[in-house]
Amino acid sequence: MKRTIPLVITSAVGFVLIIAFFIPLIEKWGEIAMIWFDILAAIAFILGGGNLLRVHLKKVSDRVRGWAYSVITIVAFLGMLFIGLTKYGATPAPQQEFYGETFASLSIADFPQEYTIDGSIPERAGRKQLPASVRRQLTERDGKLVFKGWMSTNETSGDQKKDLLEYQEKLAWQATIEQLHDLAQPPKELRGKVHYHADRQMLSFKGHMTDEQRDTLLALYANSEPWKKAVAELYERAKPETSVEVDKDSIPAGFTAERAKDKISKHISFDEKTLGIVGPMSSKERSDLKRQFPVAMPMAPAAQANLRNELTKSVALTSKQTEFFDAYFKTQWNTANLATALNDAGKAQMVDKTARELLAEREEMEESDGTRFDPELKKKVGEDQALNDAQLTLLQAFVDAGDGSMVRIDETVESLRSAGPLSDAQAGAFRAFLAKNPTVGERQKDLCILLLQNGPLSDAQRNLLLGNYRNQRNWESTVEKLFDAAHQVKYQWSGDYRGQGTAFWWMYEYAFKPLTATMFAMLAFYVASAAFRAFRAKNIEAILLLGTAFVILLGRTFAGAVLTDWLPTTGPLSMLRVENLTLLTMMVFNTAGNRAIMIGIALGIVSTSLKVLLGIDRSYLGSGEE
Amino acid sequence: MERATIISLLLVWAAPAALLAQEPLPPTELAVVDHGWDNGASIDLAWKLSASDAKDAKLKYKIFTSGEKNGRFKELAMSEPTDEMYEAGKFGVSIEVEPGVEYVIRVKAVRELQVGGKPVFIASDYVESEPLRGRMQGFDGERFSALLWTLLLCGAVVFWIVHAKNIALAVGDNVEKLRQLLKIRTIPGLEAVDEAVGRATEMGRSVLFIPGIQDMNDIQTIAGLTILDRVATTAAEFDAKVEVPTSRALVMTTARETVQAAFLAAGRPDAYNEDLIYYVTDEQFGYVAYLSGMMVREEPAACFYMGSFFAESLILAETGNSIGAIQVAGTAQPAQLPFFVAACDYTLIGEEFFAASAYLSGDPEHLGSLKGQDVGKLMVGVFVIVGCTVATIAVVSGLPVVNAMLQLIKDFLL
Repeated sequence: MKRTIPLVITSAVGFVLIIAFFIPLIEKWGEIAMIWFDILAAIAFILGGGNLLRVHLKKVSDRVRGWAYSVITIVAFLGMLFIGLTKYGATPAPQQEFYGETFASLSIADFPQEYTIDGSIPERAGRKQLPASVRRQLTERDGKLVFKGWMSTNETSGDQKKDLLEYQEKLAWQATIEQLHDLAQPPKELRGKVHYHADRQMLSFKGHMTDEQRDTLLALYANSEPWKKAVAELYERAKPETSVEVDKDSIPAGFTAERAKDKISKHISFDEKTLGIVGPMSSKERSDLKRQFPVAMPMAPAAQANLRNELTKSVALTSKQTEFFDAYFKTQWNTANLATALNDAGKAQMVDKTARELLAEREEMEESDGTRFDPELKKKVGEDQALNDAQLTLLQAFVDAGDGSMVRIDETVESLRSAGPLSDAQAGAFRAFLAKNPTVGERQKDLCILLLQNGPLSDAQRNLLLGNYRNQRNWESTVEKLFDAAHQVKYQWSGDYRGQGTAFWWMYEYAFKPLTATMFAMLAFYVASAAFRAFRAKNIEAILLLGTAFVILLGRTFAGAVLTDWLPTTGPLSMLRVENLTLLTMMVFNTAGNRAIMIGIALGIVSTSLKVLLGIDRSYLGSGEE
Repeated sequence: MERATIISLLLVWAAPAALLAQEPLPPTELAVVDHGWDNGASIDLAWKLSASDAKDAKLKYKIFTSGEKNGRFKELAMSEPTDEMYEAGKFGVSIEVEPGVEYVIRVKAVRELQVGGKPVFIASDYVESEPLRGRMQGFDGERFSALLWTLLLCGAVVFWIVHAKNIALAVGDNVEKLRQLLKIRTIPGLEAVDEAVGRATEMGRSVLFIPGIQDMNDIQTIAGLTILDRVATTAAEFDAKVEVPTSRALVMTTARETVQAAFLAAGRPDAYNEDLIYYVTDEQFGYVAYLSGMMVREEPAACFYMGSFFAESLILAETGNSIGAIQVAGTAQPAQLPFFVAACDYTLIGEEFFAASAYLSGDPEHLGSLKGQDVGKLMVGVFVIVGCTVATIAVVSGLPVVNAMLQLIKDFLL
């Protein structure tokens, strides 16, 4: 029995794997069998670890030869196990897919509201279940669809609406889902601020929660205790103020507390020494805070000359550097590029028609006794809106002034709005166009690198070119620190044990990797000694082997090509060139030999596998006998 | 007069352009069927080319799918007919679908124009199919040749196992006679097993057996352990010590079972020491470091490397060589074979490694399987020769019949 059961399992799994290869219907069985092996192998790790400890402790106890190595093994094993399991030195992982949000637990069962709509879940061939993202929320009851919680359309928290729309590509179903989606949403005043993540069973809130927002949320479901508890938790978690120290020299010109509150977030605080925020910081707030340095505007020839003069005050540039300096400023953006970007953004958007719209069109077609239905799937939203002359003049003035500071950019947006119609998309395109271009500091840094690639620069020249960029980097680093500090972590042990800077990572990088690399590197010496022995010309076969090896070795070096360079590259004699001989040997003789071995191996595997599966070969189980 | 000439000239110029911008006629006779003998993930489409299409017109065809008739149709693909399709007047293509889900297909002929350097498509009216589902069949037709080969090879092995058992009934317990009748050749590497274990016994040193670095799901590890069975039996008979450090915990437990049973079969259960079969580490070079150190310290008289090896093969074999151990290796990793051949006394190359258990046991079932393997080799050899001949004739003569034969071989035998 001890050997029969493993044998039966082996045979059954083996035959399932073979049959699953040919029959699509049971393809999954093979995958399941492989998963079971992995689970078994994972459990075997415990077995291996226990055995390792036992063997080495016994060696230490018996003081056998080399017992000190066993001590090292035991210490290293236990040390790594402790460090890995306790995640020593690993900082908790942030909720990085939800930057700027705070979380509180709220199970689906505790979510106080259900949304119902007429409809039913369609049957799908292949017995496919509902999408995993909505399986726990969407049910069918008394001929109605019931959805518990809010339906998300957020990329990061899973697009439940999209999943449901794709579940069945029929207009009636999709129209129902669109209706359900519109229904299962938070109140209007809190849309975009509060979310429900059904897969994590968490309620989340974006940014800082004010008292009014808390009261609105509490009033939503005042009778639900779990809801009130979750809102109270969110309120508490979104309240703490975080701040970091600021390097005075790195503060962007024109950046003030008022400006931060007005243009970025009213929860940001700033004085000459510290930068702070109440609640978590969103990714947009982070990039807005970082982007406070003036954008590099197209530089006029006079300004270019001034910069060059300043640069060459003490040490002159080489002629090559001067050439590259001039070339660098030849490819600058201009007003026309900026105007094109704004006009493009002002064009009417083509968006997909909703299922409800298409359904209405189809019904209309059917009412008019039509049979062919091939509607446009997109519709135009808004009107084309191009910049007027006054706005173009303002743009030109903005570019000519050469001031790319944030204050000036904001002022220009306001001026453009007052000079004519300017949509939010156009205002966004204006800022995005400028954000795409380097800041003054980045441009000077790029110039510095370019000049260094083409000649030397003195310390003074480097400082002149890199000063602004250095300040910018310091400021960005401060913002990043604040962003990290203000962010809510997942839970205390959520950090990656292999994350950079953890004790495990240190051991892996600075002990394990060098040691294994050393072992691998020794292979080079072993190859040399083995080759020396194998290539001794003792008989005809060995001489052939030596000759072939010599040709291959020569063919892989430059010397080989040089030695037979005098031979023609075409015609029959070209075959005698060493690189061609090498190629011939590898492609023909080596491949032929290898394939013969491979065919033999394949047949051997078939035969051995069959013997194992039929129970003829049982020696791996201990014996051929029961 | 002059004005009239200009107008007529303009008309002559404008006429082809207007024709070109005209909406093409739609394709017709759209046939949509489930792709046979598959897992239901594809359906076959065929339609008659648009009447506006010709080799010089070069229309393209857009395929759209929806879950219902008169639904929202999404563009799936756009392709153009090949020369063969123009000759046949029909377009045929397979598309990927989700098995079991209902699809309605629409096809439109489109004419591509360049306006301001950008492509603009003028589409015809559509032709629409009836709803269809991709159905999963009981057998994957693309794997027919694999099934054929499996049946042929396994059939040959099973036939010879049965046949060898019949021969064994005639010759009784005479294994040598059975080997002679079945024409089983001698494998020096396996003959050396007894020699190596005997040498270790004489020198009073241990025998080291390394079953490779792969887990029990690798057939090479299983083949290695069948050889361990023989090594352990011989060691038990000679009263030699067999040490088996493993790099996988499951291999360790299996090797323990193998060695214990071998000692039991040899009548020496008391000599079995479980502690000599132990787990070292899963890490490739950690395992090598341990083995190299152990070999240098303990200097085993015989080393067996039987299983799946990678970069560690030469490090182990050279270390073993440096301590003067008699070494026998066996692996089915072609890249490692030269290293073992260079550094070991005997090497079981590929199929010899898998033949070992059969050769060593001498059982008619096992020896029969070797013969079955030979039949497989014969079949492969015949097909290699036929294939090479047909391919050569096809290239030299260019005869369509030979090319068709070559294609047949490629489609059904490879």
